[in-house]
Amino acid sequence: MNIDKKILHQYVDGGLSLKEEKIVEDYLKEHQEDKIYIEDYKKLNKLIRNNYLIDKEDPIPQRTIDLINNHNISIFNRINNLKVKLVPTLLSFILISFGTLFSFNTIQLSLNKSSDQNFYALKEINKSLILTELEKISGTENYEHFSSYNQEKINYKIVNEFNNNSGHSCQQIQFIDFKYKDLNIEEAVFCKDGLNDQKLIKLNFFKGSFSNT
Amino acid sequence: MKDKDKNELLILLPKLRRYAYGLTGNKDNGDDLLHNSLEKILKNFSYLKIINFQAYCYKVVSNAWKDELRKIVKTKVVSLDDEKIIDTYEKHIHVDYENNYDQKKNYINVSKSINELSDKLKTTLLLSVVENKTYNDISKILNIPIGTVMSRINESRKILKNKLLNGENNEY
Repeated sequence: MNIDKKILHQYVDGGLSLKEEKIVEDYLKEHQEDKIYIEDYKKLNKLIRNNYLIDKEDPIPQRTIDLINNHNISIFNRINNLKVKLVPTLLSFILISFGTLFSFNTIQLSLNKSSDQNFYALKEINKSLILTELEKISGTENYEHFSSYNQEKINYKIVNEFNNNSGHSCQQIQFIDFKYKDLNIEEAVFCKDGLNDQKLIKLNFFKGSFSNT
Repeated sequence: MKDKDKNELLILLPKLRRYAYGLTGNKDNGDDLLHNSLEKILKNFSYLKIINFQAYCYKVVSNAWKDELRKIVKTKVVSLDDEKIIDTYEKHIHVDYENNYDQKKNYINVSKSINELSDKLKTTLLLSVVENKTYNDISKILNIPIGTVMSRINESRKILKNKLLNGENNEY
């Protein structure tokens, strides 16, 4: 340990460990000048401390004692004192509540959609009929297009059920969200033929992202 | 306020008062400083856990004294005179030595010498020598590095040594 003035001051102020104190004491045995230096500061410390001895006979002013005894933390102060923690806690609570509510509503909405009895999933054969028709209309028959079509579940609701002039049953259906390329398919009418196969009779669609109908 | 906290504060009160005396240099101002500091401690007293309550209280007293000093500088109040020191001595500090002339003289000399130190040196010295605070605690109370604490103590000791041990009134 390198003993300098700072270490000696720490020694005087009792800031060293027992082991360090022992080292300093051994050092002082061989360094008379520093020993005198230390003794002077010990003397000085004693002098200063004696000047500030607590007089137990001197009572603490009653107003100060009353201040402690009568101290009650008001509700305002409690809230004010806790504001450091309250603000982030409240904010977190609001955010979590909002998030939970939003997620819950979204889940409820999607559950409602799929669990609603008025909605059905479009069969693959009907989907193919529609896509084939669309390819014909656009004049670019390419079956790879709709074989790679990845909108798996297409929901629809039945708007009308009727028999056509041939006496075959027909359904007018409305799609919830059915898109193909840049086309939005809104409605379709399917009728069964004599062999009980589905035929696409009518298709209602628009191009772009918004429909006025 | 819980009884436990109240008791802790009441036990600490004499020490804080002594520190306040040391800072202000006289009893009346010391009691005022203590009272003001206590108001601040209680105002901010909360259920938040303060790790080192003692150090916190000393810090509040130190800061309250800094505020007082700013006011004193603004109003240009002159520092302590002998009369005030003697008054403090006779009334409140060394009651047992009331009639001892040498003790009284010593007391006045030491008090004057400490009060003549700059506020920074005095505060650091009192916390170390009188209040027995570690350098680490002082560093936290005064919000200064430990190195500064050590150099302030060293400097104030040099000054006091010259005045009280090596000076012309070297009668201790």
